[in-house]
Amino acid sequence: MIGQNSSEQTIQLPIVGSTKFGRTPKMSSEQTFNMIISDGWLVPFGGWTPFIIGSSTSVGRGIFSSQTLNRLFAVIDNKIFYIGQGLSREFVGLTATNSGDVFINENNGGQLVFSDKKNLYVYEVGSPPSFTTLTPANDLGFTPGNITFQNGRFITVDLNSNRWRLSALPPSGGLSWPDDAQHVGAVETKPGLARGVIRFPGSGNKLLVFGQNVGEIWQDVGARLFPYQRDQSTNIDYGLTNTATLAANEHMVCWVGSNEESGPAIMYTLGNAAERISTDGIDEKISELTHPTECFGFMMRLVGHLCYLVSWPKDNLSYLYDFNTKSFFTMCDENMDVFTVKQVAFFNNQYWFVSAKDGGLYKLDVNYPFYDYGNGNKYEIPLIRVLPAITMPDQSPFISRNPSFIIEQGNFDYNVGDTDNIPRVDLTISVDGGVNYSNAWAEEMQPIGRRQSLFAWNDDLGYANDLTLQFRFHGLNGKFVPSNGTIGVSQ
Amino acid sequence: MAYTAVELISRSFYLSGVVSRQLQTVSGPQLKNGLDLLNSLLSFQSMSTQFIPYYQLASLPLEAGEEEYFIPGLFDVESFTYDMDGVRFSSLKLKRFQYFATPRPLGISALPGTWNWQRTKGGTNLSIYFKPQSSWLAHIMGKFALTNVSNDTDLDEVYDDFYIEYLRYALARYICQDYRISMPTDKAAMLSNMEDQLSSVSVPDFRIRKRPLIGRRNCAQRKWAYYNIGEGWVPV
Repeated sequence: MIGQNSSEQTIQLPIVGSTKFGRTPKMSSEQTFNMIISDGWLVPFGGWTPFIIGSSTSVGRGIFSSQTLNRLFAVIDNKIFYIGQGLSREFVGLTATNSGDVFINENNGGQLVFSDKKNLYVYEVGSPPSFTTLTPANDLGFTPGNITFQNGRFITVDLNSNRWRLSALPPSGGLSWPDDAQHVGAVETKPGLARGVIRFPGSGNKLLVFGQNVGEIWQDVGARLFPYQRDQSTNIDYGLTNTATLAANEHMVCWVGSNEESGPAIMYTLGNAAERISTDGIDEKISELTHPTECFGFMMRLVGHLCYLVSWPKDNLSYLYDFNTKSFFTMCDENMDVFTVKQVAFFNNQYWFVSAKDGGLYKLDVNYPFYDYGNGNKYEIPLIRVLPAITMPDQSPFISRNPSFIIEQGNFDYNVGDTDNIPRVDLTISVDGGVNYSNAWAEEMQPIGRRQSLFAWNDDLGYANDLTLQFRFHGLNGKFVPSNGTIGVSQ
Repeated sequence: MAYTAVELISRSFYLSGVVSRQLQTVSGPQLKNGLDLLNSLLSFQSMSTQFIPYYQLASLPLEAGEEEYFIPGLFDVESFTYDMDGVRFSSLKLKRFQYFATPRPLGISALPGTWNWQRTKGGTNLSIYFKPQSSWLAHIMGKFALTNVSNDTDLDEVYDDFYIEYLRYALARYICQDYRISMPTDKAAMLSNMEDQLSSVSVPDFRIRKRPLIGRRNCAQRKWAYYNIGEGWVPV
């Protein structure tokens, strides 16, 4: 009951918010786990269900939705296979490696090229289809990086030099990588190795080529000697920390970048200057990583939100940046470890992904309120919102009470007798700047059909001059959609 | 069931809002601070006695020839009587000046006809005159209170539930003041209401007592002591 005390002021409770934590918890502990902002409400990012149940000893490496073949290609361990329109699974071939990132692209000549950063593998449709392995020693003469496609050619970089390579045009296409002036470019703005290349989305013939510490913008001008021409006046002063973080969608490119003077940060570019999008807190977090270069990322548009998701698996850390709301969100699996999704592809009107943790192939959907790994291994999504600290302008202490907010109710289908599994929201508080939290105080969600939506904890929350509230949303069979709320404060 | 001081302190912390009942527990330093505040509160209650809800009758064995008695925990005395041979005798309460500063013969042990009480640290000093001639049993009607409790003190043995509830609110107010915050107005209003009711639970008996020496009957033959000591009653 807000306002039971006449000297009490009611202040806003920003339930709807993103991950904005500071360099230390005292500065800000604000964080949102596995939820994003949509029209002023928090909504779950989504969950998944398996199409292929994966072995825990396997690992997903790459996934690609072929528009020309209308097939979904995936690489798990050393096996390349595709899913057809009838959702049948067909084996394509084997890679020489069992782990690590695999990059995939296609051309209009019926070819798909796979790169595991050791060899190139070319799959050609036909009767019968062919699968050709191109090795550096025998066929390529260079160590391939990621693969992109532009204007009829596959493009990759040589990971052992500053050069980047063009394939021949079809029909030989990805099977032929001539080592001549017409097919070899170089990253020369700064010394260092080439790291990755990507066709700039939404910018015509523009190509972005990354070295270790610089990004160069090239334009396919169709020149006779070498078709690309480097932008003479602009480059990006950040290189590519890991090729697997390079992702593009719509009109922008994202990556984890660094240079000789700057540590890793999450970057994006619209084609001109690069912008750091990571906050001070996230940069601080990245600087503390034990394996900052062991990372991967991808972009996707999920329910209208253009998102970049980047993970550091060895450090158990994942962040999602939503370009619509210009906000970060923290992502994690059911154990609060690194997010499971490694790469996403849109196929058959559905998002699919390969896992960074097992050999499964999964369907991703915003309407799945669980992480389902198959065989009964279905877990609750950790949906957590840590609010920014509540303080008075003069830092004086106060007593807070009756936090409440609006939440969509009546969606949970549960058995009221199954008291261990009643969906609920747990409130915990910290009065020491977000370092230690109290025990939890649970409020249960209404069962299906009961839609009273005000959610309140009717009691005092104690004395503090720096109060941090944390809400954890627990429940498997429904969605949590909270909005902003209020809290009573008196001094 | 025992209601310990530590339980009262914890519940007062929750009531004050300083500690969240649902999310926190009262810490050791808070309990110690609460105990200090509770003892301060009890001490303050004993000073005023207004909110000590009732008078209690206590027995005091008198000693022959002893004028002064210390009675711990007694903070207000309304009457003093003593028993002799099956009759209760009352005694005249004198003001401090009358009792201590007017001429009187000393060294007489007889029936105590006058008395006076004075507050002192931790209780009351009761003085009676004449000094008792024998070891009679006296009775005191007064207000008793605790002034110093420990964590394990069972308040239930001393106070009624309603008074413990009042102490909970009063201690919550102390805690709020100690933490430099306002007591929530709804709780402050409840405390004020409790205090109003407590002050009328057991009010002092202010009725005027008259002792006529002269009447239409043959009173002249009666002696002063007959009226003033035994009020007409005499031992068999």
